Parts: sequence; C-alpha cells; structure tokens
Amino acid sequence: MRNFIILALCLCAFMIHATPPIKGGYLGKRIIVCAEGSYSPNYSSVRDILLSYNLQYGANIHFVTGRFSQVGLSYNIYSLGAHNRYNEELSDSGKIKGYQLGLTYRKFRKKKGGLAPIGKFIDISLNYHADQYNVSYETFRPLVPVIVSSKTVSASIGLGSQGIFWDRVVANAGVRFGSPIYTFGLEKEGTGYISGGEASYMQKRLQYKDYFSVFFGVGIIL
Amino acid sequence: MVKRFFAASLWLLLPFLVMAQQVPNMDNYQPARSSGDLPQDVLQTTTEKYEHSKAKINTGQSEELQKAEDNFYLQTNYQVDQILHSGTIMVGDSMGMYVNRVADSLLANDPVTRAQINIYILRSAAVNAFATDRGSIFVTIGLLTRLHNEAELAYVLAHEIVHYKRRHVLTGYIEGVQMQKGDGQYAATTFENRYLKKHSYARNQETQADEEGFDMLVASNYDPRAAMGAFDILSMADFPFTDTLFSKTLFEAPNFVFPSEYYTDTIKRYRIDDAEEDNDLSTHPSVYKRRKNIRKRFGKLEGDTLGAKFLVSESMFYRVKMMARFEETALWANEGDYAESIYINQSVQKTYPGNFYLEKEMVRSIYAVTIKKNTAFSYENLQELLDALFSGGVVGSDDDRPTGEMERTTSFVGKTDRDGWNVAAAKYAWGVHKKFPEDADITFWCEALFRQLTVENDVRLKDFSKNDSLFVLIGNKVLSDTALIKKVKSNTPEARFQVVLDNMHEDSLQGVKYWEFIFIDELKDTTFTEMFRRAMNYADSLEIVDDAEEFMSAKERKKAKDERTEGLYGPQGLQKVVFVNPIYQTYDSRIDNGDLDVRKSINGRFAMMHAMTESASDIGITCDILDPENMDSSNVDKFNDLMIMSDWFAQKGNFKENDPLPVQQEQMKKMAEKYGTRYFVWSAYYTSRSPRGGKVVRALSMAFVPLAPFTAYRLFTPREDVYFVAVCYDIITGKMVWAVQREITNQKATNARLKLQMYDMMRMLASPKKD
Repeated sequence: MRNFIILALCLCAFMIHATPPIKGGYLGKRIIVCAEGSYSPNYSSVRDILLSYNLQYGANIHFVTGRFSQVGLSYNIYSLGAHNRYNEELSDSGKIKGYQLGLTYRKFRKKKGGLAPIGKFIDISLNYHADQYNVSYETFRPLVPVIVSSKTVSASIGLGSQGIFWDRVVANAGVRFGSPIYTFGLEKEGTGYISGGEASYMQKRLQYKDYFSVFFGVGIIL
Repeated sequence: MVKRFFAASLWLLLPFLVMAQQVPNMDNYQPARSSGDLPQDVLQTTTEKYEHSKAKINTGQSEELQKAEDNFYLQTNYQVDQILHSGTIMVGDSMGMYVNRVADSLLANDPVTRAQINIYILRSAAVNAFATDRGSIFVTIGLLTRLHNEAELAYVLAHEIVHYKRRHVLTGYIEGVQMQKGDGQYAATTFENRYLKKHSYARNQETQADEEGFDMLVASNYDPRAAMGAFDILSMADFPFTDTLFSKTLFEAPNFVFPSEYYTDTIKRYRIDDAEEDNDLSTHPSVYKRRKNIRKRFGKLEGDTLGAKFLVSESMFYRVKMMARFEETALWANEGDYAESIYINQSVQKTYPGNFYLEKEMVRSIYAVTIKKNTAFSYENLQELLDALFSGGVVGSDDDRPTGEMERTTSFVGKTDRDGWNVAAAKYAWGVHKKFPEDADITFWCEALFRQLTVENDVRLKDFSKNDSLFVLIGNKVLSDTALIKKVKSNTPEARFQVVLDNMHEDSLQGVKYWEFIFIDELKDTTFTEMFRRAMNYADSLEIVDDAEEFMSAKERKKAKDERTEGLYGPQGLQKVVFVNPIYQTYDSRIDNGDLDVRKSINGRFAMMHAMTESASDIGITCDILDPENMDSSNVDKFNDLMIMSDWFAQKGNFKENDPLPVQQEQMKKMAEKYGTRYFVWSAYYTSRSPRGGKVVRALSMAFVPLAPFTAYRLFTPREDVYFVAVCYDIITGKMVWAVQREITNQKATNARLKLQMYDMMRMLASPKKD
C-alpha cells in the first residue's frame, strides 16, 4: 500500500507538471471521481459463463492529462463465488475475497472523434491483486482452517465509451480483456492442507475474473 | 419664334436625352451594400418569429391540420432566416429601395398589405422572385438585369404579392401534407396520381397569381402589356441577359494573336422551350399557357387603359438595371464561374468601355482562371478542364453546357493553352494596372499574374522578343502562297501572322512561340521590367527552397511534415478570432421534411454559439460572432461584413488550399483592421440520427448475455453521428492557419460533446504555440 501511495503522489506531481497554460479537460474540469461496478463470468462451465457472474465494486480517480488521454488510479473489491459443486461444502461458500489496485492509462480514440474526457476510448491497466481463499471444508469436523493468499499482477486492455451529463455527471461503460502477468506465489495460513487441484481451481477463478469483464461507472467531474 | 426653336431643339434632342437616361453614369460605381437600420425581420431570432407565427394557426380545423400548420411555420421561418442570414441578401440598398418603391406604388391603395411586406434583393444571377408566407419577397439580381421597364417589375411583384395575400405557400404546404397522407381529394388513388394532382394544384395557384397580379397591375396604372414582357423574361430565364458577340480580340494585342482553333465557330443558339401544354411534373403552367391566359384579360380592359411603363422613376429604373448588370459580373465570379463572368463583363463593357469596376472584376476573373489553369490541370487534359471550370455554369442547354455567345467564351477560356493564356492574362492585367495604378488590388493581381508566369510556367523576360521583325517576317510568308493570301482578313501583320499560325506547318514559325512578341512595347517600360524581375526573383527563391527539400533525408522530411501538421492542428496563440455565421444542423432520417430537424437545428445553433462565447470567455480569447442574431439595428456595417466574408469563404471553397485567392486584398486588410484580427473562422456542426439496421441480428445476439446491456441499448436507440469542422484562415494571406475536422461516429450528439468541442477549439486557438 505504501508503494501505491508513493506511486499516486508521483502521478499527481506529473499531472501538475503536465498542466498546460490553458486548462484542458471538460471546460477546464479535469478530475473525475467515479464509482465503478463490473461483472465477469464465473469459472467452470458454459452455463456459468453465460448466467453466473462475479461482481466487483470500486472507485477510481482519473485525471485528464491531454486532449486525448487521461490517467487514473483505481481500487476495487470483489468476492468471487465458487462453482455450485463446492459452495455449500466450503467455509464462506468458497468465495475468494480480494481487492485490486490499478493504474490506468486511457486513450480517447481520435479517429472515432474521441476527445478527453468524452468519447470512445481504449485503456490499458496494470493491476495488483491481493486475494484470500478460505479452503476450509465445513463438512469436516473439527474444522481445519486453511486460508490461501495470492498476490498477482495483471494487465488488461479495455474498450469503452464515456459521456458527461449536466456538465458534472460522468458515466462510462465498456469491456475489458486481461490476464495475470505475474504471480507472487500462494501463501497458506492455517493447519490444513491444500491440494494441487484446489490451488489450480483458485488461480483459474482469478484468471477468469481478468479474462473478460464488463464495467459501468458513474461519477462526477471536478 | 424663339419658343418654337427651343421646342424643335428639344424634340431633336429627345432621343439623346432618353438614351442618356438609359445609359446611366457608372464611372464611380461601388459594389452594392446594405445601408440604414437593420429591420426586425433580419434581427429577430427564428424562434421568436415562429412563436409569433403560431398565433395565426386556425384552431377551428382538425388537430392534424393544426399540427401541419405549426410545422409549416417552423419550417418556413427557418428557411427564410437561412436566406436572410446567409450574407446573400441586402437591406436598404439602392436596388432594394427602388424595388420597394415600386411595391409602394402597386399597393398605394392597400397600406395594410404593404406594411406586411418586405422586399429584399437576393444576390443571385438566377432569374427568380419568390414570396414567403411571412411577407418577405425576394427578387434576384439576375431578374433585375433582364427587365425592360418598371411595369414588368411591378407585374412580377404583383404576382408575388398575390401569392402572399392568398397564402399560397401555406395552402400549398397543407395540400402537400394531405397528398402524402392520401386525405381529401387525394383519397383512393395511387401515389403517382396524388403527386400529379398536387402539381396541378400548384399550377392553379400560379394561374391565380398571374390573373390577380395582372388586375393589380392594371389598377395601379401600370402598362398591362408589361405582363407579356415579364413572360418573355421568364421564357428566356435560363440564358444570359446578353448574347453579344464574344471576340478573342479581347485578349489579343498588337503582335499577338491566339490560334483560331481556340475560337469555336459553331455554337448552340438559344432555343426557347415554349411548349403549349403544361408539364405534369411542373409546379408552374407552361409560359405559353400563362401568356395566352393573360392575353384574354386584355379584352376585358375598358377603354384606353394603357398605363405607364414607369411610375416611380425611369432614370432610377435604368440605373438599377445597370447596377444589377455590374453586380452580376461579380456574382458569376463569386460562384466560381469565371469564364461566364468574363463574358458578362465584356458584354457590359461594350456600353462602359474601360469602366474601373468592370476592369477590376475582369482582372479578378482572368486571374482566377489563370490560377485554375496552372494549378489544377494541363491544357492537354481539356475535357477535365472544361468539366472543372464550367461545372455549375449552367445556362440552360440540354446538356447543361452554356449556349449562345457565352459558350464561345467558356470554350475559348477552356481551350487556350496554358502559356498563351498566362501571357495574355498578364498583358491584360498590366494594361489595367497602367490605367489604374493607384488601385492596390489590381497591382496585387498583376504582380501575382507575373509570378504565375515565372513560377508555374517558367517564363522569363528573355523569352520575349524586343522587336517585331520576326513577327512580321513570319507573317509575310503568306504573301508567297496564293491560296493562303485569300484567307488574310486585313492588311495587318497580325492578320498575316494569324494565317500562318492557323494554316502553315509548325516549322514556319521558325522556332518562335506565337506569344513571344506580346510585350514589345512593355519591355521598353522600366516599371514593367522591374515588376517582372521581382516575379523572376521570387521564382528563383522558391527553386532554392525546393532544392533544399530535395536533399533532405527521410527523417528530416518526416520531421518537417510533422511540424507542418502540428502547426495546422496544434495550438495557435491567437488573441482574437471572428466566427462567420456558424452552421449547426441536425438531420434525422426518421422524419419527413427532407430529414432536417428544424427544431433541433435552431436550438443546437443557439447552444453552439452560447458554448463558443462561454468557452472563449473562460479561456481568455476574444471571440466575435458575425451573425445577424447577434446584431442590433445599428449594425448594418457588420451585416455588410457578413456578406463580404461569406463571399470570401465561397471563393476559398473554389480553390485549393495553396492557391492565391482572387479576392480584394485591400478590403480584407480593412476588415482585419476593423475587427482587430486577421483570423476568421468558418465552422459547421452537423448531427444526424438514423434507425439502426440489423434489428433481428441484434435481438438474437442478446442471447450472449454478458453483452446484453450494450445490445439492448443499441436495439432501442437510433444511431447518432456528429461531424464537426472548423477552419481558421488568415484573411490577409488567404492561408489556412488552423483546422479541425472530427467525425464522431455512432455516438450520441449530446450537449456536453458540443461544449467540449467548442472549448477544445477555443483552447487550441488560444494556447501558445509550441517552440
């Protein structure tokens, strides 16, 4: 977290330095604070991919840096549901709980008429995830607690569109495609045992979260 | 005895006095401009006018008809304001004042109607007049050029006044709505029949306007025979007002003739299509029928009812007519029809030889043709040149090509070879410059024509002969050929050279160019050679730059290109700009009325101008908007400026970016001084809505649940697109200094997007240039 704060401060310094003599953005307003929700298909079966989704909630702050660009920081929390085969057997319904810190560079598509902060955009994000998976089987008594922690860095590319209403309200929507690019390894807490299959199951669920997601954001521009 | 002598003298002098009236003095003619206070008709916003018109809706009729009438007022007010605000009409000008006085005379016994009518002169070479439901009547300059007397003008006005009084525009519109829907008399018939009936209805309205207009004419004591004259004008409306002979000698000089092949011998003469029967697809009856119908009314006239040809002023009539002819030369040129302008000009110059205004317009058109010839095409590609030069030069022939003597001019201008034309153009301009050396525009064009010679055609002073000995020698070759000598039309060196040029083998010219003897006299004039040398030096300096670019590496070239691009689309550091008549239009293919959503267009334009001024104020750039809705009654100067700038942008549209413009530089300098900036912006914002296709595919694709929200959104909303373009010009150099062009496809045309585009534009114009 400390590193993240340092990164955020550096980013702010860059933004202030990059401020041109006449302010850009939307009529001079350049800071966008947004609440964001997204959903991504659940892992494991075609039925789940189509009808079962994991939700993420978060907030982000973006700054319009140029005529066609904005950069932002995001914080998301999520809880990934398990496949229904397991969710009644595991503690906490087999959910993977985690949070995600992200750094986003959003490029508005000039050829499609985009002009920051309105229009179609492509964004690239670099995200740090910290996840916890409680693999304790409720059916076993006495309960043997096993909590697996995972730290991952993922990258994603998004396509979306952003608009402004009443000169203040910002709304955006789009899709993201991504993938983990680095895993720091799994850490286990508790006395229990984690099988290779469960570790792999956990990682695949995390991957599915990143592979494809649909997002919607609402916020204000300052 | 003395009295008799004076009476006889006056009688003898009468024809000359009449002639003097018919040929007004135009020595100091200045282009027509608006004057006085701007009327409310021009100043009121379209919304205000629409709200006012709505009070006239007949609430006793069906709701559907009330809705149609409401829509009519919206449409008609918008369309009329488009004309009033476009810089194509004049108010309080001499021509308009005279035409309004004729209307006073016509409606002397009907002050109520007179108070409701405003007559404007529309700056168009077309022959037309039309009335609108709110009492604005437009008369084109083209019509004024063709009138023979005031009574003819009175008849045209009377016809339009009847249209207004009878509310023909409104009833015609309602009829159109009923026709579309198949109501009333249009029920139970095919669409084609409905369409024909609608046109028949329109023809009946025209007949009514003809008949009642005739009665008004008679009641006003105008000569009723003028109605026939007006029909003559109508039947000749597609042709120029003159068919005077065009001779290539206009561009020839001592020791210089053009090859005869450039001069078309056979031209299509005017052919008036005066069909007896109506064209079913026309909104107007055939002229033949109209004439016949009115002739019948002559029989009903009682006693000696031959009124006057002139009631207001005969001398004023001839002056107005001539002013219109002078103006028409410029109108053709403004529309990019330079060859046509040359023809009209030389025809008017037969009455006013050497007139300053006409000579200046002539140099402008010659200059424009030269630029077109040099930058766009080579003379070998004749067809392409003709198409490009004369597109829009429609004078009514079957194949949309000019007919009559005008055709000879356009053909000549198109056929002449590039070098020959350039040399002749420079010669003509030099001659005019010598006559009017104090005029900066003529001097500018003359210098520019010399530069066209040196830069574009690589002609130098050494390419011209200093004496005519060789010219005479070559011409004298015909003297030894008995067949050719018969073709010599006069005993001059030029006539003999012409025969050699047209008939003998190229070798007979002994390697000389047919145009190289043109400047024999001028070469003795140091002012000429100095101006020419300046043009040569300019050409040499350009060659050095070209050479430098040739030796650039690919990287350097790319850098130079990037710098140019950044320069054009990046920050400009301007302190003040003037926007000329910004355009905002919304099209919606889901509605009728030609897809234009008038309500949204009106509101959008208001929002656009508001966003411009707000953004400019936030950013700190001064922004003036030349638009009648931003003016008050004392702003007639600004109204004139709008007209001048509209013409300027029209000229700009006729040329390539780097082509020097045939505009009056001095006028532009004054404009820049007046507004405190030389940067003027043309801008347009278009939005469109259309139904999205592929509804079935979209509905099916909702089965892919993750993207269902997007699919559903697209299924239930129309497609929207935005197109925004703005170009900032330096009006002194004519160069584009900044531009933006955005095609925003498949995205909503929100107010925020409009504001953002305006803000960004102001920001780019105001932000300091990058080092």
